[in-house]
Amino acid sequence: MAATKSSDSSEAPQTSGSLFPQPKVRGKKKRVSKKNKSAWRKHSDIKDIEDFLDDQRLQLRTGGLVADKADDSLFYVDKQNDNEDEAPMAKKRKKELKPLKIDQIIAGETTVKPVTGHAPPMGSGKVRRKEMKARELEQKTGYISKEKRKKLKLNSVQTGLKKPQAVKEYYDLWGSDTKDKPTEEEEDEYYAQVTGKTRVKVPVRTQTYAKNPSILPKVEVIHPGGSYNPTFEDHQQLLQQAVQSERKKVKDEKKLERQTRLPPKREWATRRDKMKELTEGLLDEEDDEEEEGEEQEGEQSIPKATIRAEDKKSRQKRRKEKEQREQEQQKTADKTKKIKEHEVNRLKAIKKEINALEKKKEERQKKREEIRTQNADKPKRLSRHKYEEPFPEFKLSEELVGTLREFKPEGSVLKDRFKSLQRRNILETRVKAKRQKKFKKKYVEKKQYKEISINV
Amino acid sequence: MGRLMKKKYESGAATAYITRNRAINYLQISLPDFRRLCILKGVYPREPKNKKKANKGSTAPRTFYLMKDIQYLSHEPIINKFREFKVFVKKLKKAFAKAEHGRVETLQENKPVYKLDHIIKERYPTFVDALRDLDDCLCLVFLFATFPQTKNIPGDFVRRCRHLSVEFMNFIVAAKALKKVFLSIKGIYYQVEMQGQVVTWLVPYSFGFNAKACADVDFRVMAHFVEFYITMLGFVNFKLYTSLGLHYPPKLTFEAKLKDDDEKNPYCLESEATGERLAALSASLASVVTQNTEEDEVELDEFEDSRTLEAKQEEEKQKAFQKLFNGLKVFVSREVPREPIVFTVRSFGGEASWDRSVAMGATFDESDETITHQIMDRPKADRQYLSRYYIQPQWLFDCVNAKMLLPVEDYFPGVVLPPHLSPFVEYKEGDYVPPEKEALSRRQQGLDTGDAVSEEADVSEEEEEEEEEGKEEEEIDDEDDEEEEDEEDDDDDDDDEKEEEVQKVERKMPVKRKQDDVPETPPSNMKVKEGKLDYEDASSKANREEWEARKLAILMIPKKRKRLFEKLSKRERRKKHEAKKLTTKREEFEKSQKDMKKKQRLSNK
Repeated sequence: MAATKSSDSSEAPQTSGSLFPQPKVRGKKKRVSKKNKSAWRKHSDIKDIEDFLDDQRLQLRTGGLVADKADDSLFYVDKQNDNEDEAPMAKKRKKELKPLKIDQIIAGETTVKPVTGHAPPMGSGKVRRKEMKARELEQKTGYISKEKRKKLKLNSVQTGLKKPQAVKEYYDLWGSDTKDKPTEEEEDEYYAQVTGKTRVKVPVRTQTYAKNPSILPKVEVIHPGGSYNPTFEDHQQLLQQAVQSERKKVKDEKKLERQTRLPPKREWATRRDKMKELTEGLLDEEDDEEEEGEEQEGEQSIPKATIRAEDKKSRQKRRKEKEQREQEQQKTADKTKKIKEHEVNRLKAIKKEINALEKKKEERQKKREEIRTQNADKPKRLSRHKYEEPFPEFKLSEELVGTLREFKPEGSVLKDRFKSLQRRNILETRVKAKRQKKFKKKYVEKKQYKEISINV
Repeated sequence: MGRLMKKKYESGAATAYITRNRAINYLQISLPDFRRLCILKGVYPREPKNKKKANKGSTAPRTFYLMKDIQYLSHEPIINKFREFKVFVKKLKKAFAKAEHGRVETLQENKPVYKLDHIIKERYPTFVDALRDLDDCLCLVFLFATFPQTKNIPGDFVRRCRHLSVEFMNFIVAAKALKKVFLSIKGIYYQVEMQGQVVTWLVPYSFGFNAKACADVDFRVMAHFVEFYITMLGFVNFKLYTSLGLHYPPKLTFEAKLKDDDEKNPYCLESEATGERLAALSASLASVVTQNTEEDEVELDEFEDSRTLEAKQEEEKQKAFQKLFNGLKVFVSREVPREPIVFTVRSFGGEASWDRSVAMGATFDESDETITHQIMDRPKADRQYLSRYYIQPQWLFDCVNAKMLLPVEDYFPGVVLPPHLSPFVEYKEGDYVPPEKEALSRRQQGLDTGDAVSEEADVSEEEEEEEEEGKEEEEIDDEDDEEEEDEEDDDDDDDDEKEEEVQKVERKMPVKRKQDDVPETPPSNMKVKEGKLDYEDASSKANREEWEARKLAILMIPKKRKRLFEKLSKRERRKKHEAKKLTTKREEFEKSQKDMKKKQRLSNK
């Protein structure tokens, strides 16, 4: 009975120990009595003997006891170096292998390779998209992509196609009926979702200005006298215009000439004038010096003010001065206050003043507006150079042939367009920059020609 | 206790505007790139109201842009493409210098390109916006189509421009949208109306490229404009073609037939043939849908309203105008500029052809008996057919501008042509209207049925005046018949005929003068007559009353407005005076001209 009980009790802690392993507590050694044989058997540790016997049995099963075997069959001399790093090496060589400090600095701290945009991991969206595009292109045009050519080991000549032929795809830019295309609002929403920003919109002023930067028509039709076979009056009118512009041109030229012309000879500087100019201020030197001397004497004659002890302001005097100052200030302040208070009575006059001011302002605005409307059809000043009206195209009376066959056109349409763009404030006027010579030409006399070139 | 002083030039105009150089720095691109970007995006320089403030105190003349514009430009993705292109050029140069031909090839294969689609959508949110801005576009595209390829004109600009302009002309022909044509000394002005938008453009005459005439033009800038307009016109053309249900890229209906004809005498490569045939403008375009009967007309409800009636009449007029040359078969001689002629004839429903040896796409020969008009521009024809009119090219354009078929007699070969009037001039009341225009407007209103009647009257009067020339007059009366009879006669006879015609025109003018002169010298036979009762006419009475009322109204004008009224009436009077002066001048001129001719004739005799 007792034996079964003890076995029960011994089993319980074992199972519990396997399920819930408890930390070993190094405490007092458990004392057990080994008074009878069974207790002795139970508590004595024979694990090492059993292990030894198991080992021996294993050895017997797998080719005999090791203890009985000869040394040669058990060991061999290892002549190979299987760990090179740890191989014996000269000290000098070891030093050489160690990376230099400078290399270490350059190498940086991390060994993790940087992320590059060039080679995305296989199977990612970008690669797939690229492949799909290439496949599409191949289907449409027969163009084999570079990657595929590499894979197939073909060169561009073998494929027979050098460049992808442009596939013209026509589509309606302003079409709204396409179902698969998202509307602009949807696109904007998507853009905002993805980027967290709103899309950049065209500034309103830009768009309205771009539509018509000038009130002039886009294409100005020539005067009716510019017909290839005009009526008499129209042609005369056109000629009149041409004459007027020519006259103006001549007048301007004359004015410029007049302004830059040399003065008549009698007004030219003579030798004496030049001499006088050169000696200006030198001849009356003596007088100046005298004056200067006098001045200096005068300065010296004035005695310098000396500060005496009795001139120092007393505290009382200072206080009184201060009081006076304050009084004066108070007085002026009172006066301004009084004036302000009395301004209530001046209300009518003030109103009148304000009205007058406003009227003046309005008038000025009106005037400015008028000037603006007057100059609306004139080109604005957009750069350093002023816009120059091109000379009107015309044909002289004797040049009018009357038939289309013998007729020769006048002017250039390209120039007309260019000037129109300038007139309509789309282009700023510019003058073609002359290319400056970078270096001056240098003339060097060579030895062998020295005899020939005399003029130096 | 001073406030913090507000610093100068930190707000207002100084920050609203930016100079060009600063803008370039801001965007970090080169000046040419900046110019291109501005042109593509439609950002133009501005003139600040106060330049000194915008220029931070300096008065130096500068080019300004709005800061907002430049900020907006900085978001443009094309800037990146510009930068990429810069890098590409650098690489290419290097590869060239190192003679690495393989690398050059690969680089050129991967040349960065940019698209302008999004910019066009941005600048022209709707199709109508694009149409409104088409004038400039058409001018430049048609102009560049005539250019030779030079170093200043990059890429295949010329070819593309030609392509697009031909497409556009074909559309105008198909839509019958042409409204006005004006042959000026500069070039030919065309005006069309598409979807309610009136577009005018200028096409140069087909002469050689004159580099001298446009020496001071910046070609680079113009090329940027053209670059943009090419893309724009491509989209516009597509939209226009689809709106009419036509094939795009355009297809011809009789392509197969034309092909057969052209194979006999090929002018160009097989690959270019389609384009050339299209450029000929002689065949109509194929539509996507099988053509149903003419046009689907929407039946409108009828309202008894003057406005709707007017609108209806206007519409009918328009339709009649579109069919102006319907049934006309025009043959174009080789000395006549073909493209404008064929374009005008075809866009008013006529048919046109030319000699096969001139160009591709001829649809019928000169020997075709059904030809109604032959356009020629030389004094006499080699061979004349009875069944057709021989006329000078101006007739077509004058007909278009007059919106009616004018009598052909004034436009026979060798005849002094009537002046070619500008259709773009609008005469206001009181303006001077040249007599030619007056006659035309009378004819348009149906008051004057043509020259036939007046001619007879002229002739009868002339007979009275100059009996000697009676014989010749008879000849002129029968002239039309004669012309037909003369068809197979010798050249000499033709010459005579022409001379006669010239004489006829010369003679017509003095006759008019005589008409005017007759009442000036009444026979002096003074007599005392029996008196008559003076009945007051009702209409004259009404007139007088009206005049009185007007006078009263003028009297009642307050002093404030009186000055303005006087100013206006003075202006009117001056205008009238000027017009009168011009008419008298004209009359004098004509008189002197006639006298001269008369003297000449006398001296000849």
